[in-house]
Parts: sequence; structure tokens; C-alpha cells
Amino acid sequence: MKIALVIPTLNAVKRGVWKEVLTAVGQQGIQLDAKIVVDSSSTDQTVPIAEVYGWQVFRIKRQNFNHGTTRAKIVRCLHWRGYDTVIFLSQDVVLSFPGALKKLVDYLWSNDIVGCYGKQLSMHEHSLDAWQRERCYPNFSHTKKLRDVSRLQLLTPFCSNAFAAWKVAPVVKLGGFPKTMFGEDMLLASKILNSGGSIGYCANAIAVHEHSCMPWNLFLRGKAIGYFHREHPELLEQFGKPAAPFKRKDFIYIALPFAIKSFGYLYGSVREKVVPWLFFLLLWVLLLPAIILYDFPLRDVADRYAPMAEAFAAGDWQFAFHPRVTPLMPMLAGIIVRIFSFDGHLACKLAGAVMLTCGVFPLYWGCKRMYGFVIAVWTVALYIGCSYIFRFGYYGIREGGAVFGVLLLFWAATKLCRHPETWGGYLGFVFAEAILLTVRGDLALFAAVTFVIFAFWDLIRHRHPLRTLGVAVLTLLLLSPLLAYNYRMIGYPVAEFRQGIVMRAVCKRFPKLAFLNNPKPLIKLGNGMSREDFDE
Amino acid sequence: MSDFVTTVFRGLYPPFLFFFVWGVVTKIWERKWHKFDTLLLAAFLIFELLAASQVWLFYGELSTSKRYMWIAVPLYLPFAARGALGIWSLLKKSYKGRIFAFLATAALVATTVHNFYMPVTKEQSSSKRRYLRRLSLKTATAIHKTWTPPPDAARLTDLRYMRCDQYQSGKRPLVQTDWLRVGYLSGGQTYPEFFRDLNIPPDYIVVMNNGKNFPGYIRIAMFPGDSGGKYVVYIYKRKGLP
Repeated sequence: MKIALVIPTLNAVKRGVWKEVLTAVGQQGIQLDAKIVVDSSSTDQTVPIAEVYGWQVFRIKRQNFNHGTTRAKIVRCLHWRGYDTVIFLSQDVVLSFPGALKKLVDYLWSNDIVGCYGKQLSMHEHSLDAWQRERCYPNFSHTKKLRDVSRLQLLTPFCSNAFAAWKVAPVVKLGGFPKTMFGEDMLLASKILNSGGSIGYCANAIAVHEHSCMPWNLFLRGKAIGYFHREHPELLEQFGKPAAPFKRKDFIYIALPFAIKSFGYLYGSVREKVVPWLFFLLLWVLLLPAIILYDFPLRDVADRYAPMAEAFAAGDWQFAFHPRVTPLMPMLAGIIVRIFSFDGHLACKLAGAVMLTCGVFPLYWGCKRMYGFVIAVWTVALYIGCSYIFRFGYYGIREGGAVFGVLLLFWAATKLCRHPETWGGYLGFVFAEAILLTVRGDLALFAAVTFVIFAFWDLIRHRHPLRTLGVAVLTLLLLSPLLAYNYRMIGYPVAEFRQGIVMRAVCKRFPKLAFLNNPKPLIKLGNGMSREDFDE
Repeated sequence: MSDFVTTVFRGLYPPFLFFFVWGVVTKIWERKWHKFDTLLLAAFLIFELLAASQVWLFYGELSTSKRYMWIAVPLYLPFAARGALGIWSLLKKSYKGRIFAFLATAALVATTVHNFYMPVTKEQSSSKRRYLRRLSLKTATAIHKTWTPPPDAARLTDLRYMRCDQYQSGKRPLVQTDWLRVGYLSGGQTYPEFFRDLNIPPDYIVVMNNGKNFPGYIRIAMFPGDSGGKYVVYIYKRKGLP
């Protein structure tokens, strides 16, 4: 039987027990055919020390390490070289007596199991680790099958690669360890159980494994577990929630670490949902004082948006809309006036702030979908750092709505890119286009270009334009009140009067399109506003 | 031309432009460039191109405004975030680097908060602005107090008074002034210039530091400036109004 022992490392010397780990392995009375260290570019003496102890070292880039895929590669490689057994140890696990590995391997091969893990002890009796391990590492060995779920719940697939042995061939057959940065052992164990296999626990193979008790490390560990449970809800669904540790009289000693770890768990399990809300709240905290203190309206707001909002709230439709001003932001402000009885200026500021702060969500979820959690958090942090953009939030001008439209379009694009089979992306695209067209008239060109890109993508992907047609029809449906209003007022079904001027020129050039022209508009369509007006 | 180039550059939000370039370059260098990145970058560039060229398209003049371009800035933030993260990864390797990163972040946050509130603090702290603001509110209150809507033409609701390129709220009094907010604050609206063509005169005329006789108007108020008579407001009301 060929046995390999593998330890993934990263700056193991800094943990303080690296030499003890290697010495303890060296004292084992078992024939190890390979002793391998897979080092993630440590910057301390981890590798030289391992080499002195006669270990074979493979160095990989730190960013290439993954608890699942790295181990899976190792197992595949060992399988190819004819190994039967692989033992995984952590860089801070010290085998407690010379026969520990032999007992583990014997247990593995004397039972009909694919993998088994040994007992891990904590040095400190009154520590959180010791308390939590009482349930995970009992004093008797046993094998676990799927039928034990009712008794053991989430402990059924529990397994720890900190000190575990696996039969190489069945593991490879099952696809090896999945890609994950935490809990690859439990995921594989779950796979084994679901395929009808068993895993075992050997209480006679004992090792000492101490986790750091520093608050930050406790928090991080709790966070990792929480995140793991959130990422793999199927585990909790199938096996139930984690059971509480046994009650102990010395709980008072470990209450604080337990609270910190629990807080980390809570954060890890909900952080992806909570983070955008935290940014959203932070933005409102920043914006509210400015909204209250900046009480002198800008020219555009005083002349147009605020009176329009007040007219909208009063149901004075003639002055609530105008071909010069696209209606979304004044309408939104009008609704705020109606509900809260604020004045038009305050309502315009709030409408702008609502749109800008809500922009956090499409930006965050879109980024997370494409680039992952970390980039999403940094992106939203930079978004909040765009102080000039957030001035729109208390100026009360329409650009806040435009930013939201652009961000919704971004979200829709990410959704279409990753999940083109679902409707969410298409609906998001429709709403984004409608927002762009109803928030600023000059965004029509951009909306048109993005629509062309979408249509092109749809044709290439689906070979027929049905989705494009659906999106176009829905967008037109959303815009139809605005188009009808402008058709009646200025004679052309457009979002804003400047587009009417363009359309008039098009209709003149192509008389067949004359049916788009209302011959009796209520207002004469002029020749366009002056350059000075544009500067407003 | 140089103004245009400067505006376009400022429209690209220079504080994060370095991070953006760093992010794009490292992404290409590390061969992590995705098709979606091309789409995102293209969307950003198209938006900025259209925002920068729309005045030229309509009026043939090379000019734009920063705020039109800032709308699309969030589209380049994922690249900037990658760049910022890359720089942070480099800096955190050494103690000095961490100190530098901490100081730079603190400076960036302080600048951001300062920039964010600058218009508010200026409005509240600059004695000139505060004074003008108070004077505007005083003027608006004076107009509001002296205004009694004429029974026959309290609002300008006829379609004759609407133009497609200029909004008017239909409200009165019509206040002709360079202080464009006084009209709204007094409960009416700023006098739209196209009303002159329709032979609708302003109800009030407000001028600063240039008191003179306007035919058909009587002076109803004058606010002397507190700061050595630098700013004096004259309010004129049309004769014949109740």
C-alpha cells in the first residue's frame, strides 16, 4: 500500500509549531512513501525547514491556492502515480503520539469507508475550541452513513482535513474535492454519503490542533463558517442546522470568544446581503445633512423641476409635464410632495438622493456577479467616493436618475451575460432603457446604441430576434404615456422636444413616415432651444 | 479647444483615473480580460463620446459639461476597484507601504468628504454667499407679502403661454431678475423671456446695485447692504396691480 502525507502551508513558522509538526510526523511508526509540502509562496522559513526534515516541497503562487482544487490536483496526481492513501494534515496539527497515523490508516482500510478523520484536541480545557470539539470529536470511533442524519444532523458529513486520511481511487472517482476556500472536506464527505458510501471517525488517532484565540481570528473563523453555510445551503437543507455544543459550567470563560465567533458567523452568513445596505445607509447618513442644509435651489430646480413636482402633487397636469423636461424625476419628486407634503425643492433633492443611493444595489450585485464579492465592495466604496456625483443627490437635478439608469443597465448586462436563460436581465434592460429615456432626453442616443448592441447579441446568441422584439415592445409600452403626451403636445411621439425636431427632419426627408406626425399639435414645435439654454 | 479637452478630462473623473488605468492594464497583463470587460469599457467610452459630442452634434460647437460625463463614471469603477485592490496588495507587503496606504486612504476619504460638502459649507460659511442668500429670501418674502393675485389673471394657463423649449409654471407673480431663484421662492416664477413677445409684462422687477426708474413700475422696497452698501436690492412692482 502506497501512502502519501500532504501538508498545505503558508508561513507555517509564524504559527509557532512547524518544527513540532514535522518532528511528530518523523516519529510515526508507519511507512510513508511520500511526504509532501505544498507551499503557497511562504515568506518565512517554512520551506527550508521542511527540506531539512526531508520533505518534498512544491511551491505554488499564493493566489492559485484553493483548499478544494489544490487538494483535488494533489489527489489526482497521487492516483496517477499509484498511491492508495492520502493523509492530509494542517500546518499547525501536532500528532500526539507515534502511532497516530497508523491507527488512522488502519481504521480507514479496516472499514468500508472512503475517508476518515482523527480526533483533534485542544491544549486548553477552558477554551472555545475545547468546548466546541466535545461534540465533533467524541471518545468512540464510528462510521457514518446517510441514514445517520436523523441522529447526527450536520455532524453526519462533518470531516476535517486538518487530520484526515482518504482512499485515493474512490475520491478521484467521485471527482475529488470541490472548489472552495472552506469546508472542502465536508463537501466531499457529503458527496460520498449521497453516493451511498461511508466516512469514519477514528477516536484513537489523536492530534493537537489549536486555533488562535485572538478576537480578530475568531471573527474570521466564524465568518468563514457562516459564509460556507450561506454558499452551500444544500448542506443545511439536507442535514439540518449545526447543533449547539454541550452545556458546560465554564461557559463564563468562553462566553466572549463565543460571542465574537458567533458575530463573525452572522456576518459571514449574511454579509453579501448586508453589505450593500450598509453602503446605502452610509450614503444617506452623508446625504441627509447636505439635503437639509443646502436649502437654496439651483436655477434649473427653481425654474422647472420644483414647480413641476408641486404641480404633479396637486394634480395640475398641464404644468406637471412639459416637452422640454423628461418627466421621471419631477414625477418622483411630485410623489414625494404628495406623500410627505414637502415643498418641491426638498422633494427634488430627495428624489435625486433616492436614485443615487439606490444605484448602490445594481452596481453591487452586478459587480458581485461578474467579479466577486471583494471587487464589488471596492467598487461600491469607490462609487461612494465619487463626491462630485453625489452632489447631484442634494442639488435636486436629474443626473441622479441618469446615474441610476446607467447602473441598472449595467446590472441587466451582467444578468444577461451570466443568466441569459432567465427573464430578470431582459426586464432590467427594459426598465433601464425606459429610465434613461424618461430622465434625460439627450440619453436617447446612448439608449439607442445599447439597444443595438443588445439586439446584435440576442441575434448571435438565439438566432432569432424574438427577445429583442419583446424588449422593444415592453420598452415602448412603458414609454407610451410619454410618447402619447408629446404626440399630442408637439406633434411627434418622442421622449423630448429635441427628438421631435430631429423626427420632423426625418419625416420631411422620408414622406412615408408622415403618419408619425400629428397635424394638430397643441404647441408649435420651434427650431430648438438656443445654445445658451443648453448651458443651463 | 483646450477648454474642451480639460472639461472632457475632468469629466472622466481624474481622482480614480489612475486606478482605472492600473486595473485595465493589470487585467490584460494577467490575462483575466473577459468579453464582458470589453462590453463594459465600450459602453463607458460610447457614453463619454456621446456626452462630449452632443453639443457639437446639435450646434456644431466643440463644448460639453462635466456633469453630463460624470453620469457614466460608475461604469469604469469595477476596473478602478481592481486597480485599487492591486495597488493595496502591493503596498501591504511592507510596513512602510501599509502606512503609506493608510495615509493615502485617509487623505482620499478626507478630500472626498470635503468635496462632497463643499457647496453646502460654502453656502453656509462664505459671508458673501450667506449674505446674498439672506437677501434673496428677504426679497422673496417682500414680494410674497405685497402680491395680491389679480382676479382675472391669477394664472397663465392658456396654451398660448406655452412653448416647447421653455417651461413656465403658470404661476404668478412674474419676477424679472438675474437672481433666478427669487421668482420661485416668492411663490411665483422667474419671468420667462418669451413672455415679452406675448406682451405679458413682469409683475415685479428686482435689480441689484442699479436702481433706476422703470416706466410703468413703482419702487416698493430697497434693502441696503449691510456690508458697506456693497449690495443693494431694489424691488419694483407694476403699476395697476392690486
